[in-house]
Amino acid sequence: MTCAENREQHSALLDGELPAPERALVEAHLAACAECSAELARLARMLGMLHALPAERAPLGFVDRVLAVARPTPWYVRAWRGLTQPWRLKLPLEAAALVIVALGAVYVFQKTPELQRAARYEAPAPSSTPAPAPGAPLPVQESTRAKPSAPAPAAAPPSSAVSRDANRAESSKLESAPTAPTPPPAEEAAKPSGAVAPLSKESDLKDKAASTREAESLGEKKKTGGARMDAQAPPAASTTQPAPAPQSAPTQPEPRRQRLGGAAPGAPEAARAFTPPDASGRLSVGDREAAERALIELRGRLGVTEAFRRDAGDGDVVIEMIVPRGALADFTRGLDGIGRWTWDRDPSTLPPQIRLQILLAR
Amino acid sequence: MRGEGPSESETFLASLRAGDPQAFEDMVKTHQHRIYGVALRMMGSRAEAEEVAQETFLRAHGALGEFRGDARLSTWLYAIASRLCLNRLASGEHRMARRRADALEVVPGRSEDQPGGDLERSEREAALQRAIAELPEDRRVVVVLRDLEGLAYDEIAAALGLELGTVRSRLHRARLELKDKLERYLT
Repeated sequence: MTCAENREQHSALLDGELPAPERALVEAHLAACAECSAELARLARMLGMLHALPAERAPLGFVDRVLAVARPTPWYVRAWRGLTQPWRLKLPLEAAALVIVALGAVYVFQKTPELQRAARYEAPAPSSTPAPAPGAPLPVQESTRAKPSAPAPAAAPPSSAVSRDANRAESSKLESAPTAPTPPPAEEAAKPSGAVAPLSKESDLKDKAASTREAESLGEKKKTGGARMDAQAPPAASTTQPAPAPQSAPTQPEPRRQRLGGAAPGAPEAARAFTPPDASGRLSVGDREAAERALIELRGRLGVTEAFRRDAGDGDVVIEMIVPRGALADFTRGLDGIGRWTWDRDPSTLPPQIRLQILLAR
Repeated sequence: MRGEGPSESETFLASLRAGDPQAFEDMVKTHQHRIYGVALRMMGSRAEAEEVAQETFLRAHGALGEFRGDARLSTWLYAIASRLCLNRLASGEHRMARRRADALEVVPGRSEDQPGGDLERSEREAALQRAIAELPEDRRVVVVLRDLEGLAYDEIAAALGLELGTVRSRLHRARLELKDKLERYLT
């Protein structure tokens, strides 16, 4: 081992970090070399000076200053910092997110109400359509319902009011056939002559009541939207384009269609027509005026109120009464006294106030 | 190691990791002087030394959850402080400030404040402080950690992320340099 190699190991030797074999070699050289021994002694003295240096002390109040800075910040401050810092990165991202959310909200705001209105508009359709009478030709009824609904989406504008008007216009197209001065030839051709004759009296009554309600709803549509339809459609359309007319024509016998078409029920009647009565029947009388007087007297005696009435043509009239459930038996007995009362629709469960629809007919 | 610290029991470390303010305060109180001492030897300025020491504890406070306890807590704090010092010293801003000052601030030994300190000892300590301050930073930190703070070679290697041979070599070079500068006090 040379002196230079030996001196390279002096630090490790003094620190006790030298492995035993190397330490033996170094110590053997030191024992034989006075220069290296003196060098090691000087290094040891220098290390002694270093180790003798007094330890530095942190300034007074250092701990308090550290703790003040390191004191946990409230959660809302940390949350705010987390949201905003580094602000150069996060604020633009958050602004962009806000814009996207705002645009999405506007989009939903614009789209959803229209869908809701469309759903609201579609909902009454099934209830306004009377239940098919047992003898009624079902396929024809389906066609009458399908045809007006088919053009509805195309004609529906974004506004609900406009879409309602458009619907009325579409519905009034159906009504144009009965009110047209000359019935379309196709209606006459399609009208099944045998469809009226085989009807029994009861089924005829049911069919008549159902078609009465249908006529009310269609009549309402006609009243509100008919003018518009007239303005839009050329007069020849009712004859040259008989498509809407035959839709309803085959479902009803021609005389009844004309009677229903001739009736012009008001808006409240149409609104009521959406809800079928709880019960209905036919009161056949000889003298209608006398029957009316008796009915008024019966109503007054039993606390029955008249909800509305409508001329059904040919001198017949449809009257809807609100009958308390407890008075229903007496009332129907009274009806039997006035004329021949026949139940048309007798519900198994009756509400406290029964809407009883009476077809007063000769 | 000089002035070995508080018990680094599992309970204490668990409290620290859990963010217990009292445990953190105890840690700062226990290690403040040693961390400040390293920073002062490295930075050569009391103001900068306090900044570095304070930042060391704040960084430790933010990273206590990640302290696994593989090394001693004091070694972990030395590692943070040493790296902060080296980073500051390596920054261009610090170098320019040093150049303007044209000389390192000689850190006065605490023996000057003590009534029993004699002039020769004060002069020797001042020379030693100056010699340490004039060491290259990578050697200075090794000397400070080993000869002033008493860390073992492997602890220094772990704290600075160096090989053991590199620590041994740098330490030896630094000591030879100090010995040469302090030759007249060694006879």
